[in-house]
Formats: sequence, structure tokens, C-alpha cells
Amino acid sequence: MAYGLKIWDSTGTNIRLDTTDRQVKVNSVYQGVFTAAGQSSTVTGITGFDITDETWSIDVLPISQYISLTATSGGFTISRSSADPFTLSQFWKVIVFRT
Amino acid sequence: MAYGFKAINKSDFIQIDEDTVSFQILATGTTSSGYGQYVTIPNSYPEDIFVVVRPSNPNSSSVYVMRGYMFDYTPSGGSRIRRAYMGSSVNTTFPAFNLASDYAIVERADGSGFTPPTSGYGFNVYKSNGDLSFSSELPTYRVAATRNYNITASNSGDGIWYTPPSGKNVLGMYTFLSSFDLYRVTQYSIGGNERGSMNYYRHALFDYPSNRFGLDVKGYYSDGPNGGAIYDYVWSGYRTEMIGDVG
Repeated sequence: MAYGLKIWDSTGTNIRLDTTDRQVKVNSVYQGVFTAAGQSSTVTGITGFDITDETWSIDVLPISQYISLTATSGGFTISRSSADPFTLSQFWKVIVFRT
Repeated sequence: MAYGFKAINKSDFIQIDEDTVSFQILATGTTSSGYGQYVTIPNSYPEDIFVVVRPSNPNSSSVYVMRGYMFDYTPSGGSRIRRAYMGSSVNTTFPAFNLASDYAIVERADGSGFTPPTSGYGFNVYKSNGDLSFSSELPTYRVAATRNYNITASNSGDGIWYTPPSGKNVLGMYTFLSSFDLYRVTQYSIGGNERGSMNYYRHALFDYPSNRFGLDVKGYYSDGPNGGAIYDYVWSGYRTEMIGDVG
């Protein structure tokens, strides 16, 4: 038997949450600026963060072949490759969700 | 001391609890057709806003792909620009991504865009500080499945990764607008000083006829410069993909 929480809206026909559904829930957001190629930034102390656990989710901006991310237990390192030929600053953002 | 409310489903996923704020739908819409369509995200919205997308009014007998990404840039001396780019296409070797897309902007329930419903009925959950955490009066993004994939040069994640259970259809579902665009550029020797170059793109894949969802990776070849550098640059690391319903 399926169990969990099922919620309808006030019309009684629209399901707001079903027993098989998961919600996206806020955890944390990190952002910064790489002022030059070859820089990196490390974040630690995200309690319980484990990217191999599918209840954790991560979004990494921007999409660029010169941006890479290494996730660790409780944190991550985001890097801008030294090969990036662009000289402008590069904004980055990492959003951590629970689902 | 434990207190409050927590709902856990049969798969042991926490659906709602009093400690974490849920995301709920702030706005929905449909882009125009044409390549390079985007939705402007007001700068007043929280940093952790996200967008979910799907092909608009698709033909259920066709396979569709979507490209798109979040754009966030502040020009020197100018104002910050936040956009969600998106486009869909029937899947071909060279998709045009010029079909309209449906989208929903998803914001944390305690964000500035929401007023806690006071209808007197339904189901509201609040955090200990009184901020709204979830409300049945607000539509939400109901996640059916997620995938965390470690992208490398040799592992793109290409392929189907979600098949819904019986009675559920990919037709109508939305995917999290993770970054679906150029993610890898490589140049290599094809003999002597001759160079070949490949650009690889990742796209969301809505396989409606087979009722499946996944990731489509396409690579496009071009000749490289004679004697050019050898390289392989990849947007590497773990990324999350999601599929779910809006409502």
C-alpha cells in the first residue's frame, strides 16, 4: 500500500502533492566571481551534503567548458580553467537543494 | 527537541517538513516560437530561484529535445541581467530549437513573491520563525525523479534515465532547467598536423512515444586549424537533472 501525504487544492481536483511526489526544498546558495582564469573557490561545511545521495541536488552556473566542479562530502570546489581565453570576470553560482 | 511536522513517503523521501522551505510556483507561461527565446527574471527574486520547462503543445508521437540555461550577467557599469533561455525542437540531427516552450518560475515559499494564504482552509506549514514553508494553496513543482550525474570527458550521461511508473506520463511533465547547451569542446590530431574539432551539446530529451525522459548529447565535427593545440575542455562534475509535474 502506498503511503505518504496527498494534498488537493481547494477545488478538490488539483493534486498539490501526491504520495509518490517529492518537493524541492531550499538548502543553500553560493556565488562569487572569478576575476581571472585559473582561479577556484572552495565551500565547506554544508551539513550532510553528499552528492551521491539522490536526495541532494546541485545546480551549477554558468555552463562553460572552462568551469568545473568537484563535489566532496560536505562541500565542493568550483574552478575556472587556466585555459579560458576570455579576460572578463566570470560570475558563478551553485545552488544546493534537497529533494 | 523534535517538534513540528514531517511527511515521508513509501520511498523514504521527505515530502514536507518544518525545517526546510519548499519551492512553489510563482509564475507560468509560454515563450514565443523562434530561436533564442528567454524569460526575464526580475532582480528582486531570490538567488536560488529556478525554472522548469517543457515543449509547448507537443505532438505525442514525436521525440523532442530542449536546450536552455540560466543567464546571469552584470555588465561593467550596468544593471544585472537575469534570464532563462529556452527552446524546443523535434529531435533531429540538427535541431533548430525554435519551437515554443512552457515554463514555470519556481521560488522558495518564504520568498518575497508569495503572500501566505489566509483562506482559512487547506494546509499551510510554517517554520519556527513563522515564515511559510509550504502551502496547498500555491502550486508547486512535484518531483518525480532526479539524477545526479558526474560529467566527464568520457561520461556525458547521454541516454534515457527515467521511465514513469504505470499510469504516469512524461507528456505534460517539466524538467528542471539545468544547463542544456554546449558543455564540451575538444580538438585532436587526425594525423600529423591535421586537427579535428568536436563541440558537444547536452539537451533534455522528451521521448513521448516511448513515454521516457533522459539526456540527449550531440556532437558536431569541424576541421581544426593546421597544427592547432590539442585539448579537451569539459564542464565537468556532478549535475542534477529533474523531471516532475507543475500544479
